[in-house]
Amino acid sequence: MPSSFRKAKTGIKRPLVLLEILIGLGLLSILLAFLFASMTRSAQFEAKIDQARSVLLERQKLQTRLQDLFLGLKDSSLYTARLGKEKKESLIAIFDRGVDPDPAFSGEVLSRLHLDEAQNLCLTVWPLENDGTHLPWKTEILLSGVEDFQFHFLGKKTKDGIRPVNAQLAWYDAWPEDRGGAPAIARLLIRQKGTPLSYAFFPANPEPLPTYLEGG
Amino acid sequence: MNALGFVFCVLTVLSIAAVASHEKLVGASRLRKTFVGHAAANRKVVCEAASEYYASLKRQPSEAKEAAEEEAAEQKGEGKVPVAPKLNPECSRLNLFPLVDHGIQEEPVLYEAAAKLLRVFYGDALFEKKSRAEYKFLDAFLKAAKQHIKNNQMPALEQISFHNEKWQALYYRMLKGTKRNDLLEGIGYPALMDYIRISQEHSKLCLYHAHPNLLAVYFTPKGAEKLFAQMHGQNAPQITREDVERICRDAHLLLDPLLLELFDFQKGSHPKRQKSVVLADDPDSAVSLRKTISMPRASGG
Repeated sequence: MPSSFRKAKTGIKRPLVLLEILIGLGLLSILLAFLFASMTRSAQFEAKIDQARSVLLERQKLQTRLQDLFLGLKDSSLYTARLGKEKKESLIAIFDRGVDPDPAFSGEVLSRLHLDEAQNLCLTVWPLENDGTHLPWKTEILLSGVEDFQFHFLGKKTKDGIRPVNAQLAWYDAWPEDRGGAPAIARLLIRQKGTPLSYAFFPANPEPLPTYLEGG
Repeated sequence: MNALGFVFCVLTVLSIAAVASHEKLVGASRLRKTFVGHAAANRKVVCEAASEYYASLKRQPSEAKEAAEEEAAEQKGEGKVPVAPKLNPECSRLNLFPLVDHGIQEEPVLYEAAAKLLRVFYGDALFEKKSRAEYKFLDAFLKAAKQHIKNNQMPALEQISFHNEKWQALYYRMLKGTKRNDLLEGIGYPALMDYIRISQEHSKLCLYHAHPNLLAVYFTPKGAEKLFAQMHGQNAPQITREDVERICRDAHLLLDPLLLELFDFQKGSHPKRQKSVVLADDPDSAVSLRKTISMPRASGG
């Protein structure tokens, strides 16, 4: 006769036997073991994702900032130069930062993209207009852990560059100040902690630009 | 009962962990969407700049061809309602240089026109309908701009410094404007950069190219609509001062005749701009970009 039927009939509560408690505890511990194991795995996975996300975010920030620089480039203001004891050439340009809460850093600013001593790829900006008494600047770290970086510029062929494209265009690894204009494409190659990264930027005002006039 | 409490605790911990994880996921997805939207808007800016550049090249070969193209475009657009431009062009911006240079006493009409523009655009949203707030702001603006000119610098609008945090924050919001704005519908407020300028080049405000928002400031929304439709309608004749006065009378608007002195009624061409402002947006992520681009000079090849 089933126990529930016995209980209902007699009206006396039957205590749980030790075996039932042991089975219950066993099942619960198996369940919790699975649960906590999956939670630990999930936490470890989350930590890895967070790390990857922050790396990705830094790279996205670099791309966004440099896109802004190349789009707002002032006519013929871009050039590369090695300043002081720098190991790598810096990229120097005047670009439009738009409206900033700080009026000194609004509108057109002078900028320099360079590698600092702590291997950070930095963008430093100076206001173009100042009263001559002080020269404030703002430096933003765009990418950390950069071992090396190199720009390649696509421009009108004036001399043999690092790689000719056709009779009119060639790639150059430097854009000297006396060249003027802006490249059609700027390719940035970076080695960050052994990982190669590459970006391409398109200035909105490339000059000189090969053009083919209608009927020309 | 104890077992029930334990299970409840475990479930609570699990639900807190699930919510935290979900929030992280949503944040990451939002960041990704913004980045993708930003990249898409950037591509549109490059595309628009290139289109503008090549359009300028096309017009070089022959003026006759250009005239024929314009005629064809007019015929094509027969019966269509004129569409307002995205931005108010530079030729239709109120030049405040005379006001900065000569002072309020010598330029009372321009002063009132500038104050009215500030009141209509930002009175409700930024000045909180405070009495004469726009005049106080305008005085502070003129003082700051004058300081730049004293230092032999022609001030760029975004570089004007008020040395007053309250005015500076307000000015920043004015310069940026809101993403969505429509004066006629009462949505948001436009960017001040599109409606005023400080330039030594003395020129009147071009009525023909003016954005309906600017027309609404001086000719009321109803008058602006009529005026815009008349100027940009099919086979619209050259508008005259008398036409504007008639439209204002029809809209029951008492117009100060001195105000009309600020406007240029000629359709004539303006000198080619060296800089172009491009507005691009990505509807999916609601990212909107505004870029000032130095246009390249055309070079044949």
